[in-house]
Amino acid sequence: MTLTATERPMEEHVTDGDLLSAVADGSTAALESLYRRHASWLTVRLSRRCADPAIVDEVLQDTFVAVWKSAGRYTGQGEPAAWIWGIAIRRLVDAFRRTPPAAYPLYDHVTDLNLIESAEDRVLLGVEHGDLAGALGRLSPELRAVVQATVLDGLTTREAGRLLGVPAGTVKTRMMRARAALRKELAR
Amino acid sequence: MNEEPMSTEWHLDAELAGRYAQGGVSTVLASSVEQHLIRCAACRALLTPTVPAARLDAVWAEVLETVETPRATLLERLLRGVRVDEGTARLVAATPSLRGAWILGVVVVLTLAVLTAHADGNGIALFLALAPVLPMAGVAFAFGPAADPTHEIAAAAPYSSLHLLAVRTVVVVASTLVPIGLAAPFLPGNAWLSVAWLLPALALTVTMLALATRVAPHLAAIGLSALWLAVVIPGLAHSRNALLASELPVQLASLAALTVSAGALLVQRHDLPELFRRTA
Ligand SMILES: [Zn+2]
Repeated sequence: MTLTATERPMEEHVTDGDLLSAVADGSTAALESLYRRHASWLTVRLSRRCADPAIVDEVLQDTFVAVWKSAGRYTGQGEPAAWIWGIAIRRLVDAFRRTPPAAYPLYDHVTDLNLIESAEDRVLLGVEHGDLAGALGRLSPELRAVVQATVLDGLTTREAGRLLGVPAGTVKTRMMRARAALRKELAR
Repeated sequence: MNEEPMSTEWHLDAELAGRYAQGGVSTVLASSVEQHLIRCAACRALLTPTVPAARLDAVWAEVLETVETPRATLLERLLRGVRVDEGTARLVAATPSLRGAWILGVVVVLTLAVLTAHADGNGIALFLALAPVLPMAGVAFAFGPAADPTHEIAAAAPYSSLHLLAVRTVVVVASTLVPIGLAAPFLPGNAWLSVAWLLPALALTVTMLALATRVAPHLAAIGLSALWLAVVIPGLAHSRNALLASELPVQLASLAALTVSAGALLVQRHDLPELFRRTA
């Protein structure tokens, strides 16, 4: 590892992928640049899934330590932001396993249905046409939470179960019910 | 707010970013915001002002500390546990001769030597030939060219070179003497034979250190090993005097070498930084 403590953070035009390969080569300056770019939105997104700021900060820290250790495993495929989020959400699951929160204030109420859904969400949900946003909005909070954790956050049923504080089997049955409800809604 | 559904030109504005950050949007809208953020650096940047910089700086400081601190080894944690100060603990733990492979090597060599000693009358001579070389090799390895990822720490640590040398040498010699001392009572023959290796071992180690102010430690160690084996091996081969190493002349010569080398080391102690410059 080279000494990088005195280097300044990287320039604007350097891509996240470039930064990740510099991190893989042991550059703490690249790690700092990556942190400066991504820490804010990660904090916000984690905070929506965990009400305790101390846990969010701990998860953020774990996430970048993990990025430092495993940057070499980023294949260059897909968005670096998605890769980092994949680490962060799993660190949050781990944190919940260590200290289960008193309540899971996750994926709360619905008032606003302006969903700009992505094509891949539709593929993952197995639905093709219609008002997905509206249909999602009409799901019960339990079913919607499962859709979010599995489809949108990309967690496995087991991980989603830990995050939501329910058994993996429950996640599976809720996901089946959610898919059925969505297809029915969209077929109308 | 520009919110045409299905448009690829859809982006957050500062108002929506603020609302999202404060948890003021529905789950469904939040989901679409989050899907968009993954792909759009410009919108991610909109969230920067929503998290206090001091909070992010504090987390970053923790990250930096974690990634820059080498993980404490088991030995280092043990030493810290018995209240050895942090610098010395790291110094000791970072000594290459204390890694498992070296200790394991010593144990294997000694076990073989003891087993041979029981199987064959010459085996004890083999033990007496090998045992003195091991502590010296360990110390040379501790300062050798393969040694030191910690030379930065050594340079920065508030210790004199002499302190460093003393701590490492004592620890390495002790860690080698313990397995040899444990193996020795299992040797056949009289009690004297099981301690006869001690004086030559100390003589070789100290002589190696004295020479290391002039030549690289591993070269000094190789030279001295060759010399020692040249003295004791012929006895082994011809079995005329298989236990030469335990004989009085060898013991006296060892004592003399120990005395002279220790004196030389003391006189040359100001050259010791040389030793580290050469090996670091
Ligand atoms: Zn955007």
